[in-house]
Amino acid sequence: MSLSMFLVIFLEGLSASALLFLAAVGLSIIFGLMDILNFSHGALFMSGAYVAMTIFHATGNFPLAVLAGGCAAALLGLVMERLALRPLRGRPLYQAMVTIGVMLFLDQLVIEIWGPSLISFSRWGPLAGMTAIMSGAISNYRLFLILVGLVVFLLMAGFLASSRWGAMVRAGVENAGLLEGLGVNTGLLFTFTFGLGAFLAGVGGAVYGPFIRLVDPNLGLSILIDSFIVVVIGGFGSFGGTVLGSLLIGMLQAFIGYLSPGLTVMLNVVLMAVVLLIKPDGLMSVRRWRA
Amino acid sequence: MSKILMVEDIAVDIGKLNILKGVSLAVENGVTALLGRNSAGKTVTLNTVMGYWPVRRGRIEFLGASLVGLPTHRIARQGIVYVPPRGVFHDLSVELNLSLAIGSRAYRARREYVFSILTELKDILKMPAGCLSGGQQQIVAMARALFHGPRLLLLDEPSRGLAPVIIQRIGAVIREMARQMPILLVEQNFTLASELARDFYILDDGRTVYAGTIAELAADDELKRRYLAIG
Repeated sequence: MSLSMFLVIFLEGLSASALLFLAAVGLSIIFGLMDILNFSHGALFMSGAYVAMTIFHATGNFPLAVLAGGCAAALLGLVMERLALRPLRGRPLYQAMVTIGVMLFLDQLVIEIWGPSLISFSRWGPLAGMTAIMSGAISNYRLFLILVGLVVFLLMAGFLASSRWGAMVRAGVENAGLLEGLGVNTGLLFTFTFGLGAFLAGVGGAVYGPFIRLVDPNLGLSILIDSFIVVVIGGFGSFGGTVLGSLLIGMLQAFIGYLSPGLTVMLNVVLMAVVLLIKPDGLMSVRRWRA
Repeated sequence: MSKILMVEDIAVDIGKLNILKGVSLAVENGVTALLGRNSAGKTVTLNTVMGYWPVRRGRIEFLGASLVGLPTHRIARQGIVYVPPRGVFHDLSVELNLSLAIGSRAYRARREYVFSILTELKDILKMPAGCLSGGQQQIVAMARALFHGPRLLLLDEPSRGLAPVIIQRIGAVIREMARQMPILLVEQNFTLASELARDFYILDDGRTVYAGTIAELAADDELKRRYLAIG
């Protein structure tokens, strides 16, 4: 493998990791803080993609489309948290079932609005070309994905590490009852967090569409599975674990895919099985207490 | 003496079990001890006052206003702080544990006062609370209560699992705190409770079965044997 080939594959792996991270980070945070296995996460991702596609085709303004995709998913998430999840607080199994219902509902809603067939989602002009890397080349869109992943990573890391909200989220992950007993409205904290997780899913969907150049109603499920694998490998509820899981899967897919394309399909599952055998709680599991 | 907290004949179900069947108590200034065997309902009583469990029956009043049905954070904001045994956030530094819920301004304003009582805090401020010993965690949890400056402190088994020398220190801190705020103390360690409290209530199988002053109880071996399994 030449150096330029290595660099290109490395960047491809990094862009795949960025996508996986964007898809999985909301799922992980929502589970960590709220104990909710959000099966509708993929559907929120897909809703973000469809809304972004519609706005982009109507206006030609891609940044606006990404923002709209994120906000649409956040709005769906907020409504869902308030109406369906909050009444079932403290009953994670019921909440998980509600999210399955929301997933089925959103999947059908997307088909009702946009139809069952694929719709193309072209790339925004400034991101459409290729960039030369020594003797190789990589698409500008992949570089853009790396940038988006990095920006979201830095924002979230800074948010979790330094702000009081971030500390509260971490405290809430560990012991929501104790935090509530200190006068913190954890219901509001949970709603905010769920909205944030949904927003990130929507942004992920909005930037994913042009990557595969289309949107289709099965998008949600495939992304949901990928996100679950990332989060299981990294450790549910752990931000660092989600980063690590995304990087592991993205890089392995890129490099193994280069050496032997057929292997990538089973790679995720094999990697997950190995991690679960060695560390059943994931690579960076969060210790959890309940009041 | 005015009643700060009044609990009247509360019943609480958890799942299908009737955990509390008739608990009544009143808290005035100073330390009031809530005693009884394991699983008599002491911690559940504190948790119910905090709103963690809904009551099926009965009244809970704090400074004359009902707490029944309020969400926990609203109860906390009325000035009640609940300190579970070693109740700290393990993943956060000691400093964040102390400042998290009150904000950094209130934290800075009160820290000199709190550190003058709990001098041992200064050396561990930057450490994650999960790395501390059990006694240190208990000190941090009680320090957080001092920062909040509550109008009522619910202190749940502060001595649980700690060595005798550390229990002495915890006892001294509670005595200091009792000068600032009324305390409802759940304690298995009767010696500690009898040193701190003036009034007591005994719970047995989810009911208040006896109330009086600690001095009476200390002299009554039959009562101690029957409900506290002491002597």
